[in-house]
Amino acid sequence: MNHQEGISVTDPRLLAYALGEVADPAELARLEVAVAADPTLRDAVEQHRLISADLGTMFAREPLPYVNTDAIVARALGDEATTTPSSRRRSGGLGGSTGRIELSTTRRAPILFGFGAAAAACVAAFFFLRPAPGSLTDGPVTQLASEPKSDESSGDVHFSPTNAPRTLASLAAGLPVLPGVGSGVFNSASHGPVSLRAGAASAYTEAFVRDVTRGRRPPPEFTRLDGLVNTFVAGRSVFPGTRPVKVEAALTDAPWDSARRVLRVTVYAKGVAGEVAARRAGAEIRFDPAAVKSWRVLGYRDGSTASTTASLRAGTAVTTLYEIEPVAGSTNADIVADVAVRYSRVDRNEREVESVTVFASDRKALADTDSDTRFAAGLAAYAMNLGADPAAGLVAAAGEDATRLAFARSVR
Amino acid sequence: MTETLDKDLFRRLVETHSAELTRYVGGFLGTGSAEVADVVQDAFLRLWQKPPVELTAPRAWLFAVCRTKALDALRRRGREVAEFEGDGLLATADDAPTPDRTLRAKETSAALVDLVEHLPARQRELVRLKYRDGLSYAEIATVTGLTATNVGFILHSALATLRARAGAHDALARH
Repeated sequence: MNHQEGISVTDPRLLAYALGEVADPAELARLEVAVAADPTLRDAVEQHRLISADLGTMFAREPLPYVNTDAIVARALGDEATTTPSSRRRSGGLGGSTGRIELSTTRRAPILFGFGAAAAACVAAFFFLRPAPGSLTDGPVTQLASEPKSDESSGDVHFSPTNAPRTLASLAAGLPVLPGVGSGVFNSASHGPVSLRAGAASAYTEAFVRDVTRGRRPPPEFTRLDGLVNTFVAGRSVFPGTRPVKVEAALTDAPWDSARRVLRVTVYAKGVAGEVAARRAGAEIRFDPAAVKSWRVLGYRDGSTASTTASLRAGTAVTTLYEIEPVAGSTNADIVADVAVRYSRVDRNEREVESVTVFASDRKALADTDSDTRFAAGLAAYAMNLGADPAAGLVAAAGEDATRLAFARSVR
Repeated sequence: MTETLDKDLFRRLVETHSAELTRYVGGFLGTGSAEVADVVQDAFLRLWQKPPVELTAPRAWLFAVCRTKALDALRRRGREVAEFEGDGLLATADDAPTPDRTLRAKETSAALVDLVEHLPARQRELVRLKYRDGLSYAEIATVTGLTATNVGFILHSALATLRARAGAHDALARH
């Protein structure tokens, strides 16, 4: 008990303090003084943050239901509602806040960090931050006039199994490539800056996971690797440091080809679960041609020239997977990629940058890499070989994670 | 939100919030209930046809309308809804502090899901609104009709309940 301030470790105000819910400045000041002076109160606040992080992580994995938003809009507005271009968007949350979020066609000038002059020759790609499952963005919804006219332009992603592209791995196996899984072409080092639109987990992903866990074989067009990965790589509401955004990269061997690598890039946002932690967040990755012969994004379709930024909510994570073909003879000292995430804090306009450099020496064997990378790579292998042994490696990759294990066992 | 509720804005609200509202209403009526879609539909219909004069927090307003309609639907089924009303402070567990390490040791999501599912109805609803839907204390107060202070009390009680039950679960497992 902090007698001077009248605050005990069971005081509900400590939870409000831990969650950033103390609105009264005087009350906030009293709590700060009390917490700073009493280690037991500090511990109580930390415990509140830990359990809050656990709850945020747990709920982040809870899928949103599919909703026919067209029907709701049509009933309220009448027939004219169904004639507008944006009426075929994915529904809420996952696809959700959906439509387009702060879209722009402007390509960004590369940021030079870590490379020096050699960076100018590097290939850059933008991947776009979308919230992890269960979260929402609050950016303005705008339609991009110059966006390529694809079946994604409506926001409703649909692929026909008959026109699914094929990857090298699946061609070798004689298997159809699942749409959205291996459709990205390999880009050579001479390729110019390319913008790619990342997809969040969508209603398609929800339907896919639901079917698999119920023992049903889902329609192949429902497989979106990007959505699956973002479903199973959980966000973190708490991590060290004062900045609200963290970027993490991990390099491992590709399960389908030991000569290739998989790079996992995940952007985390921390703070009070569900609240906007950063605005106008956008990410950029450069691959160094000295170490990377070619690369592609796994799970996203190429061809988009749109770039976008989005708000990040605390407790969410956005993951992008890359397949890399290394340059023969490159050394461990070589830089594979630099990743930068630019964003603004909620109450500031200044841009801040979080970056990470990936060296060839950072590569770990699949068995030794972290669980998120291992499972994400397992998902990619699974998705590319859905017609053969879909569960190959997935159960082992799931480790001790109950949610992942349940999914992997359902697959088997 | 002081601007006119035009069609584009309405459409955006539907696209942004309909799924989370459906999930929220499913917590009252059951996720498989056909009434869930009706409740959400009716809430948006009301927003379009009779929007509040001054709607500063449309998300909280939509949650509040859905909540009212969901409880009405429960009453029509003959269900008692008192467990979702009042200050919810009577249904609390032992408040004795238990190290959260106990809970974190049970890190499987399945266990935590189970613990949350067995919270008293009011606590469970507020935990979901706070940690799943990301509403602030003030927004939860708007949705539920509680004061922000009571929201804090109930959430604190809910976390104490989770800690206590996680501790009891572990004690049983050791014997």
